[in-house]
Amino acid sequence: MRLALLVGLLVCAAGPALAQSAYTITGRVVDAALEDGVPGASVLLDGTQAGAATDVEGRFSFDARVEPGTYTLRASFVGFTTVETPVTLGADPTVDVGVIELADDALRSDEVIVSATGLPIERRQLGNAIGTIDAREIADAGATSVDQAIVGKVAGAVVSQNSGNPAGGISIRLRGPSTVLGSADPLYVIDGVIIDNTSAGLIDLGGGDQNRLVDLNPEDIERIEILKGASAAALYGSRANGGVVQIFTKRGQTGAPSVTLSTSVRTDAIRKTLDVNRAAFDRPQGTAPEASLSPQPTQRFDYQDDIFHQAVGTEQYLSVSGGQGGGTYFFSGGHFFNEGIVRGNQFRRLNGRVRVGQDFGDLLNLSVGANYTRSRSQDIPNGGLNSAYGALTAFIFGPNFIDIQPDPVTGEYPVTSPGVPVDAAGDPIELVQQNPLDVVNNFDFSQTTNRFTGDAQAQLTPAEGLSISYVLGLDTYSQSGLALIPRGSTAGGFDGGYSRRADFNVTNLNNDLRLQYQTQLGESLESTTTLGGTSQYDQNSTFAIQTFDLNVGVETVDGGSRPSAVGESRSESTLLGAFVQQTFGVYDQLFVTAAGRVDASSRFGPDNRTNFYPKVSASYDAGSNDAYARAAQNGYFPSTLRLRASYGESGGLTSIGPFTRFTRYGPGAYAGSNGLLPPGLLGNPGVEPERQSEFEVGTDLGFFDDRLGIEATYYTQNTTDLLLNVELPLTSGFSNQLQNVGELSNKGFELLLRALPVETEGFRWSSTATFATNKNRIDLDPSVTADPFDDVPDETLILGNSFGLVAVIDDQPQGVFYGSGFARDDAGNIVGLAVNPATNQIVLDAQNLPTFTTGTIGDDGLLRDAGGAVIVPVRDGTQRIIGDPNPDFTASWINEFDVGRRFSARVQLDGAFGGDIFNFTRRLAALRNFGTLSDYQAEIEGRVPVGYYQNSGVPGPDPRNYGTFSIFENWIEDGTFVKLREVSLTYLVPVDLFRGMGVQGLRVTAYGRNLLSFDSYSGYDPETNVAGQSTGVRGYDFVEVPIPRTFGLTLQATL
Amino acid sequence: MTTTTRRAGRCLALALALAAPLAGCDLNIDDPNATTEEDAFSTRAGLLSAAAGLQRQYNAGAYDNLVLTTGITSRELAADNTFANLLELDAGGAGLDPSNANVTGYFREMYQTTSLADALIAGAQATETVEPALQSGLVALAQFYKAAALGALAVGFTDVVIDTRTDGPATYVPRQAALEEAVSLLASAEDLLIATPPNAAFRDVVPRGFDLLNTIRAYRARFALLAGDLDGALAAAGRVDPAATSVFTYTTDVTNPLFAAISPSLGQPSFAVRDDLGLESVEDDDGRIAYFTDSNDDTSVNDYPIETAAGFIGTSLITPLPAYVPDEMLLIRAEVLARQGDAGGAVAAINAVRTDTEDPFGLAANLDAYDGPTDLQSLLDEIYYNRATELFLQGLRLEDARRLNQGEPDPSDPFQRTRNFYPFPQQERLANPGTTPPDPAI
Repeated sequence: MRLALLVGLLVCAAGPALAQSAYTITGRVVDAALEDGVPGASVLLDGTQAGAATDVEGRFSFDARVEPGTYTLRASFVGFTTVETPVTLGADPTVDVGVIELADDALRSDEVIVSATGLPIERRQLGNAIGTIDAREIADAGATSVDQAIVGKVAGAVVSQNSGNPAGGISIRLRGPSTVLGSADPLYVIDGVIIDNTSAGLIDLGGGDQNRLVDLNPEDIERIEILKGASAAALYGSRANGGVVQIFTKRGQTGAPSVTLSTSVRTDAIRKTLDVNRAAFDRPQGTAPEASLSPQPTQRFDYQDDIFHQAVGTEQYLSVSGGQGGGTYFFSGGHFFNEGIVRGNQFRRLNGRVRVGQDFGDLLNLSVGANYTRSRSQDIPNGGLNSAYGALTAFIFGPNFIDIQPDPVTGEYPVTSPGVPVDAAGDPIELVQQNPLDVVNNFDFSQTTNRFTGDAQAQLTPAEGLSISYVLGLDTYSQSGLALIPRGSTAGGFDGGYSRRADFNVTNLNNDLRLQYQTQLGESLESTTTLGGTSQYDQNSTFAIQTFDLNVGVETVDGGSRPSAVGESRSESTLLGAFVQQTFGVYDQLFVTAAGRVDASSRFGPDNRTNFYPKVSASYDAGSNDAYARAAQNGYFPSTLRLRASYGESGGLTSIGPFTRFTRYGPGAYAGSNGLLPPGLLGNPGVEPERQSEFEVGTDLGFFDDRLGIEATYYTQNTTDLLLNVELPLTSGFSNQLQNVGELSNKGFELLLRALPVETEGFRWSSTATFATNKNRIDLDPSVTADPFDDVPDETLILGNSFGLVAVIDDQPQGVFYGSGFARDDAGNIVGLAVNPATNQIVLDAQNLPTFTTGTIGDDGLLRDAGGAVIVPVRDGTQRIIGDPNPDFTASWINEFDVGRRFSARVQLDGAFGGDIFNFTRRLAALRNFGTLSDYQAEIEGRVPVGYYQNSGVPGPDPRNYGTFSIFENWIEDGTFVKLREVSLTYLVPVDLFRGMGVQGLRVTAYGRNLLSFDSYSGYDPETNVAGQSTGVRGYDFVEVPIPRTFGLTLQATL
Repeated sequence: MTTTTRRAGRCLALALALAAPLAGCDLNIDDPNATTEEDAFSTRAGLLSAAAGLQRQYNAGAYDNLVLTTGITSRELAADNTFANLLELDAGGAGLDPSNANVTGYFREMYQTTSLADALIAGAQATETVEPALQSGLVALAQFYKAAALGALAVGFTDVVIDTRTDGPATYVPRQAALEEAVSLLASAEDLLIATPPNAAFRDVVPRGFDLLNTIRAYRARFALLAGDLDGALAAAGRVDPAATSVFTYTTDVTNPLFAAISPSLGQPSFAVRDDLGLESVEDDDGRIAYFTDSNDDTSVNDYPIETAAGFIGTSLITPLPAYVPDEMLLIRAEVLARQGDAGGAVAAINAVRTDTEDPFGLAANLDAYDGPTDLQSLLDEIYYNRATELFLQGLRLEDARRLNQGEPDPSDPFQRTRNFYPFPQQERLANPGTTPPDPAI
């Protein structure tokens, strides 16, 4: 069928031939500051398809078959101002245009943006701040994944690496979350193909899951465009509430074949380990009251030594590209391998990419791209969401005085439970904990993905000013998750072994047609009209089966004797959309755009199937006004002054299931007859997308001849029709229904500064800084959150995967930490139990009751009374907001230095300020029964009172009311950090050394990532999140793998 | 437009036409994972499955909620677990929280039953592939279960919603009107079954032990009595075949919910049967008390003496529960006659129950004939005693205690009901603030 399409287009392509001559045009593009060749710059003969990319020396040469006459040669490269040079093509078939100098463009005004309208448009004409990242920035960063390529480079994009595993999940929030129930991640589009980015939790790793952006090789990326909200992304309709990330991969350019070969090695290690309990003696853990037992000498271990190791990784990449005769090609192959810092964890990605394009005269360009990826991760479960079998989970649940090495004779791994522990009442308690070494050595968890992404594209220019583009995109993959815990495992409940297999198959298709007509309506008015249509189809299915109780040597589910939880489900949905957009350019200074998109999706209820999203925007570019330009040149005004404003609406459908519109009856066989039971959840035939409306206003300013550029934007987003699970009147016969009832807002300010502080002969320092704030607020109707058990107040929704400690609360930011706090007296002082410093025991009065006093939390995090003695905190069980993981602002600062022609260096700092982290990891380890970390050591050694963390044996109405273990507020920490995200040094080896070997360029880059973190956080890393890509649960630290410190060396040769 | 443009236009139209089938444009995609409302109520197979599901919904979801929740309030049962909702229900009184999970569950399950029954009635009547002899059975069955649920709601709540709806606030009617609606549904069901006897296709989805026609008549008599329609109650009771039995069937998959809630064989139960069925005084050697209890010295979490359950609530997970017991018809007759002034007839009916020595369920009093006073309240007291023992754990004692003037609610009296009616569940009041009636004081 695709062949038929190509044939159809080919047949149509034959156009009329004109009198043309052949010319060869040569020249060189150089960097105005360094007088050095600019490789990879694009040179194009305006109004024709003839052009080429410059080589490593900046030279270009291309053939053009055109009529004689005067043309404009356009030389452009990301980060530089585009230069137009007149060229006269006459009798001489060879034309040398000489040296073209490109000057740095701090504001990137001339940058061509594709995503906002679907067809190329200069940035200065847009009413929105759009983030862009180019291949050079990605290569310099040593990025091995898309998130690393984006982090810190775009104001308003908060990138979170949720896990330090090499295939760990990532989240990107553009201007904050715009949904509660669904995914708040942006829509990803690669070369016009809508890419699936599901986090399919096929196997339970105890924490975050992978998401499938991991299949993309960042080496293939040419540039990334980021639309941050509805006002920019309105044309993406019902899928744009999280913003849009559009990725363009590399293409071949006319010219001799260019071969790039790169290889790199890296090593990862944990940046910081936790201080374990090193007490030389112990009151046996898990027993109480410990005061009654005499201390015993104890040997302790740091299981982190057995869990973490120095990981290595390698990467090889080869690309060949070029083109001639109107055809271009790009082939690449990559192999990426990286161990995780947790032993046994590794990730391997193989991918191959092809793109071929062909011009058919000036009329038509056809392009076909294909990418195949095979990703395989070998996983080790770690996160604390499932305490049953993780490695780090085993470490933190301790205790740490068992030698976890296997028995030299039997090979059996000891369980890390201290004999038969007893609780406060003297009853034995179940405390069988898996051995972390057993997990690392014997568990076999893996996820394998085979993925094909392909596209066929046609660009048609049938008439002056009219262009038509068509994209057919396909993204399909199968992901298979396997989990094997062999028989004889130390994990509680899994001693007989466990095997699970879950498969996830995805097929997404999209068809997009766009027509653009550009015309001059009189001297001063330019009109651009765009019409577009899209049809999108998504299908996926899951299949899962598992068993307990495996025979020896058996890995398959069939080999088990207790198969269970067999599940299958299928999802299918379609979306049809159409849009129209009209832009007027007045005197090339004022650009006004109005647009509208109509969407219909099978996910929407039949009663609300069609949705409309309008958009208007305006941009005023004063620099294009001659009078202003003259005044600016004289230094009276900023060299660039641009004002922009934009309003737009978009939709979100990630909260709507494929079949939310249906009331779905479940199986309910009765007495031998097939039966149907009513569900509690009522279908909603009126369900419609969550609707975001966004207004943004901003300015782009250039100073000192644009050596300093400022891009400032204020935005306000309001999302209405927020989908929430609403409690229904029970007399309806149903309990709840997804309804469009909530509302939330995001407001913020974004600042991007690009500066060229020093630019002298042979030295250049360029600096980019971003700063962004976002305030998120939820507006909940009390009837939405009625709780049948009345455990929580109204206007509060408790989120899953948080042990009930993260909530969405009316008039609060999303995902606040919500739990019990310190008891305080009327004056607000923290209440504590008085302690006798001599015995280190809680003071009891004649009635055997404790005495209350007050204190303050010191720098060491301990509660001390006025005299400085540590006292035992008292819990106030009332649920309240105890922390907010959302940072007040994020910032980054990137500095690049070019020294001479050969050396360059890059330093990037990223920071997030004011967000809280819930240190659940430390909370658990402080508990007597586990006692893994130094907190409990302090209690054993008498530096904090007995029972500081968890009271035992003190009389009172409820002994659990004393001690920090049950005071969740105690475990909230400031997550503010500044990270030295990246340092890289690049040296261009003189190619003279390889004369005759065909080497045109050789680059050596040494880099480090996540080298230092300046923070006051006591846990592993303020950046990871055990709930993975969860929209609402952020900043939750529960033994998720921390982000490693990486050193790497990359060699890149161009042939 | 140039020829080139036109050609290009044709060309793209062709390309789109070729590519369109690749990406489906259908906006009406069926759900392959679950039975939708349309599948369930507009196909013959769906309606048959819905009929089976309705029986399961009531017999193993709604009915036990009625029996267990009102059983605590009427003192037939004691809470035997420290879950807050159970302790709160056991305490009863004016402080009973509207969000109590047991009361909410009872309320919710009954309305799930009426909603499912309504959908089944409408579907069976509107679906053309349902033949008359199947339609009569489906409609009668759904009318029976809807009536059972409305009657059950009238036991615990002052006001009831007769027509469930999902598109707006429901209309409440007083419980009297709900009982009348139940009687009218049962009358319609009885007429339907007699006019068009159901065929084998219908009988296949009804377990063998369930005698639909006799159960309809028995419930018609029961609810007519509750509604004060004495003649109607007497007439319907007279049409019930005294030799027939009718039970709710349980299997290893859908188990006897009363056994599951009460029997300690499955772990700590939530409910326990009170000593002497929760009555302050009982007659010596009443066979019915021996039927329902095996004596022991245990006490509940709130220190009420409790016994081991026996009979159809204490035997096994697959023991069927009677849909009604035959002697209920005699007790209805006794009450009607007593209220109509025929003391002799009433005593005769009472004695038929008291001196019963054999019963299809083995539930026989085996007592001497009644020799007490024959004034109305004395007869009603005697009828209450017999109903409390004969109709033990059928979800009727709370209603009987009110109707037969057995004192006022008193949470401090271990033999007195703790409330008359329940507060409306919190979720209902919050989600339906306009029409939910005020909560009764007690």
